[in-house]
Amino acid sequence: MMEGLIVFVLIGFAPFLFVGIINRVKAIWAGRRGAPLLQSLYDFVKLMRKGQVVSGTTSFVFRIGPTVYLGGVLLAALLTPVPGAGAVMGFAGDFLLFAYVLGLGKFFLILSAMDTGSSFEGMGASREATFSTIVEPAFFILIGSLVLLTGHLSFEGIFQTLNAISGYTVLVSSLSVLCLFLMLLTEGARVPVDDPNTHLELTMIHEVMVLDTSGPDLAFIQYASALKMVVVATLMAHLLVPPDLPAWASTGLYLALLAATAGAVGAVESLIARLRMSHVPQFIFLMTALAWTVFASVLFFSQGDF
Amino acid sequence: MTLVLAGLGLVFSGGALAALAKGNAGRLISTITTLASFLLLLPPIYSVLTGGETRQMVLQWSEPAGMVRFVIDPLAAFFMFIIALGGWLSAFYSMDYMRAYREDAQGLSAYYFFLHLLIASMLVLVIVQNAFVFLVAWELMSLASFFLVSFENGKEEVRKAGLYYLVAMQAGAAFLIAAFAFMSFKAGSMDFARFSEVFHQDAGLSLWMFLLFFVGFGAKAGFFPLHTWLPLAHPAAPSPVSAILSGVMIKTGIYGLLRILLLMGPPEKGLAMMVFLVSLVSGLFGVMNAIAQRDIKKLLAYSSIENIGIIGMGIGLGMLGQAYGQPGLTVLGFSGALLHVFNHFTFKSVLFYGAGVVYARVHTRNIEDLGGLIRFMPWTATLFLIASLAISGLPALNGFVGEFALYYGMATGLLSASPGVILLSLVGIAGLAFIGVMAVLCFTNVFGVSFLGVNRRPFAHAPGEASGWMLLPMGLLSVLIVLIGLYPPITFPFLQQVVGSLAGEAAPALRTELGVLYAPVVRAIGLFALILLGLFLLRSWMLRNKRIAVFKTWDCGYQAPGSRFQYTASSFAAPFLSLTRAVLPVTRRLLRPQGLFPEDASFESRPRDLADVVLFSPLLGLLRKFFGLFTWIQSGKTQRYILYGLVFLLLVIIWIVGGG
Amino acid sequence: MTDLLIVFIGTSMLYVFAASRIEAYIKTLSLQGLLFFLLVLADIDELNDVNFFFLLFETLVIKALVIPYFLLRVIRKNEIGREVEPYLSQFYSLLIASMVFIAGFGMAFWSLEIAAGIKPLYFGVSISLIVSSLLLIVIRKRIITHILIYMLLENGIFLLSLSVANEMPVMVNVGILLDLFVGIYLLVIFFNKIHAMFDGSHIDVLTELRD
Repeated sequence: MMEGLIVFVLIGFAPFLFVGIINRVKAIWAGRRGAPLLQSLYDFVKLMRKGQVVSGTTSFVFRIGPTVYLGGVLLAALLTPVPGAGAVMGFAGDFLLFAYVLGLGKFFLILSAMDTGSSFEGMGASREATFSTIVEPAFFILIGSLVLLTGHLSFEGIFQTLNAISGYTVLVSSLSVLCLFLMLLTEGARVPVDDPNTHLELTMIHEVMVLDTSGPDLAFIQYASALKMVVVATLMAHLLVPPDLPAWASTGLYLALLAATAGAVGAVESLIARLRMSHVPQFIFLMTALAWTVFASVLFFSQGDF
Repeated sequence: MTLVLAGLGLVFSGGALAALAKGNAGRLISTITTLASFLLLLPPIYSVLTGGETRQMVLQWSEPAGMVRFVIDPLAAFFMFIIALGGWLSAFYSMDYMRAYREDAQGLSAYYFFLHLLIASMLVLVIVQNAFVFLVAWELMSLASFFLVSFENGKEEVRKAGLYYLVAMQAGAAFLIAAFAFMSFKAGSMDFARFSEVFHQDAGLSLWMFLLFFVGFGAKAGFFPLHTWLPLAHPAAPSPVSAILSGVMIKTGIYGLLRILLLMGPPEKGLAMMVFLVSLVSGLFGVMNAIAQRDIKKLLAYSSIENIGIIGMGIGLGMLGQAYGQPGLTVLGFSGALLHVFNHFTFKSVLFYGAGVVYARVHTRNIEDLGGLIRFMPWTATLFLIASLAISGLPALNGFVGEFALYYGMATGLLSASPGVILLSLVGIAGLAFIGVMAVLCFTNVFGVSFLGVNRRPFAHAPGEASGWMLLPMGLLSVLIVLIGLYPPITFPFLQQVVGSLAGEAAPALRTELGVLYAPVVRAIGLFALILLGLFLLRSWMLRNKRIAVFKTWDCGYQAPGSRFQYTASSFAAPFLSLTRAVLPVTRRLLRPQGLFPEDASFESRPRDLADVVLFSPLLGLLRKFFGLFTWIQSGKTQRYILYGLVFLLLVIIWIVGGG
Repeated sequence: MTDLLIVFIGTSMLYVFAASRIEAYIKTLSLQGLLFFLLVLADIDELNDVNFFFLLFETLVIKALVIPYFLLRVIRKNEIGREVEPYLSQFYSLLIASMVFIAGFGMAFWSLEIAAGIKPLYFGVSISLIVSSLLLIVIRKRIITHILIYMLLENGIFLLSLSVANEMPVMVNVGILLDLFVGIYLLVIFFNKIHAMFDGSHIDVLTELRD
């Protein structure tokens, strides 16, 4: 019950704050004052109140796409444990459902983009699909390594056991955090993978897939993308929060880490330029390489210790 | 048992009758007899699958067959269900699909005859326990399918595909014949039970025999690199035949493997690893090649290779569990494999039926010429979408159910003590994840390009929706897809006995184990459905008084957009293909525009099959050169050849009589 | 009694060598079918029941009646008359055929010493039938004749399968299957009215069929 409430509140506000912090960091870095922290919440409400302009070439797929996308991310959020509060739903094998329900959302997002018959959106859809082929296996390798390390098959089990093992977990945790950070950048469509501010040829991935989306649908998609970032950041935070802290301390530390992650994203966006499109796959491959490194170290050390 | 015989007899006689009947009667006879036999077969299948008893019938035949036993055990019953159901659905679908060929009365009679022969031979195949009859049924199945594949033999590509298929089948069967011959020689009988005794006595022999059987059955199932016939045969065949080929016939290869596993008992570690790795490679290879295809049926054929790989991974996982003594792994592996056997049958059939509708209405298989079909055939599109979601393994549909079992099994493998299993499990998890996300790319591509957007080439006439005859099989299967996806435990009573027989007595009870595993998943998916419902209601409520304007797609201010500006399938796949150049050869021909006012410019890309490029083309080229050395023997005169034969015969007679 | 029947069968082969009318081949086929029927009847105690009935039906109905009837109808409808000038003259071919027939008896005597279970005369005559059919194919030129000679060859094989019926009963089944195969094969050809065979065309035309 308590968990549900905490998660509910988090789901409600964290995405907006997260995006707000990122934008504020970027603005300050650039010498501006920047928009209010909750600007994206105001945008969300504004969009929800609007009507829609729908393209004539679209079908029912376009109309249900954003909703399924958001539904998938919401379920993934419910499966993610929050430090100090646990997950609303946790069970053995939940990480599988987590990844696949996000995949379901992505499937419909891509189809909505194809439905408009626009070459822009097709381009974005194609790139989105291609980059996921690199991200997903890396994510599974990472989670698999954590399963191997901790001997548990659910998110909660993994994170609760994580810090209790011997010293080399620091190595594993830091590499995993880095790996997940890359995943956050990719899934959240942040620089250097994609530029959330424009949809020009050079940056045509996520932003361009929603060119024809408007009103509540656009609100859903923007909110879902932000929520996805929060979910990945939660996983990252969980790796860093020691499990034996009291609940309020865990949650407090977690919120601080969320803010810090948002800040880090903002910093990265301010420091690095968008990568040339043909170099983006290589960048995402870093995530795969990191994941394999994590696995190799876990395998090596676990065999040595036992 | 009598019901089974009645069912078999119905299928066979139905074929003969349908072949002889005139006009529309043939189609009706076919549909009714296949349905009747399916219904007749249901009671024994049900009782054997859930009860675990076996039914048996023994026939005494002359040598070399000897005593022929027909046994329906849970494994046989499982496959019989798929065969009978698939047969009926394809016959039903053919009712309308084959109407386009109604002038070709002779061809149609042959079609129905061979369709029924195919179904009947497959049914016999799974219940017989005698090597001789098994091989006869196997060859009948191959021949019947050959004639079905060559149905449109007016076209050269169909003829070539048919011949390639026939040769590939015979090559695979050669391995089977060799294996069975050797085994019956060792066992002194053709009966499978004797084989089982020999397997248990001699481990080294089992190893070699398994390899032979794996090549033979693997060629039929479509494992890499023995798969090259699949992408040729499936597009060439008419769509109902493609559906039954992909959905049912290649599973007989899987059946053969499982039967051999049942006879052999717990396998060696090396064999288990080999099966697992070959299947993983097949899965990866299949889906990668599917992404590169533009012929919708060739794409689906490669996708079948991918799914056979997934099924094989499940079998390999089960074998690993047996070899390393981890019963949890065994149950999960075999359950996942069998679930996927059935699930793949459901969604691949829908996909092929859908492709058949597209071909019947638009007369092209090239998805680059399609687009916007959802406006013309909304039901077909929706069912195709459901099947695409299912084949990508996405939750709330049945594909996820099978893959979940596999993933969970491999995750359990990560917890085992043996580093070999750990490594294999992680490679398996990474591989299966890679396969899954590539399948998402592949099917968003094919569905998006064919059904969504606007048509890229103008249609000669507006394509209509599929008829009720063609939609019913698709709809029926889609209901199964959704049902199993939302409530997986519905399948557990049927899997219990089969997996139990494969996994051995040490394995824990499937129902409880899987029940515990899937219960939270079912709850989560139920929650997901509620969330979706809530979001839809929210959206509708927010939009209730608002203006929803319909306008053209945003074109960035360009004043003359056209349907050809849309993303094509090749473009969609291009970023991915540029990453996989090493394992997916694509021949490209580019004619650059020259000069200030260029006239000629063209670009052509053609994906090639790696196994073909590296293995079979060079091999066949060598064979051709070798046989080219003997062309002088071929004079063209039949009499010269008979003379050769006569001379040889006389020489042999003289030698035998003289030598004594 | 059976020996007499077998010798008659062998002699009918010689008749074929001598004849030049196509109908003669067909009549020989029919006669051989009848002789086989009588032969099987005489061997009533040797074969088991199922095979026995099948053989009776097959020899009398298929071999002696149905196939010759169809062939005759097609031949008459297409007004095919005679064989053209063969490669080897009638006289020499008849001579060689007789020598083969006698050699067949030699084979029969040889098999008497070698193997116990097979019926020697069946074996010897069947070998001579097979060899002379093959020889006849090499000699004759018309395609339609080749088909008919093939049926004769196949009769010889049938006789061979009867000869080893005790040792390997399955050979009888195989022999019947061969009959069925050739019968269906022929019937299909004739049903499809493959005219090219019936208009005096020569075997030489077929030399086009090579790589």
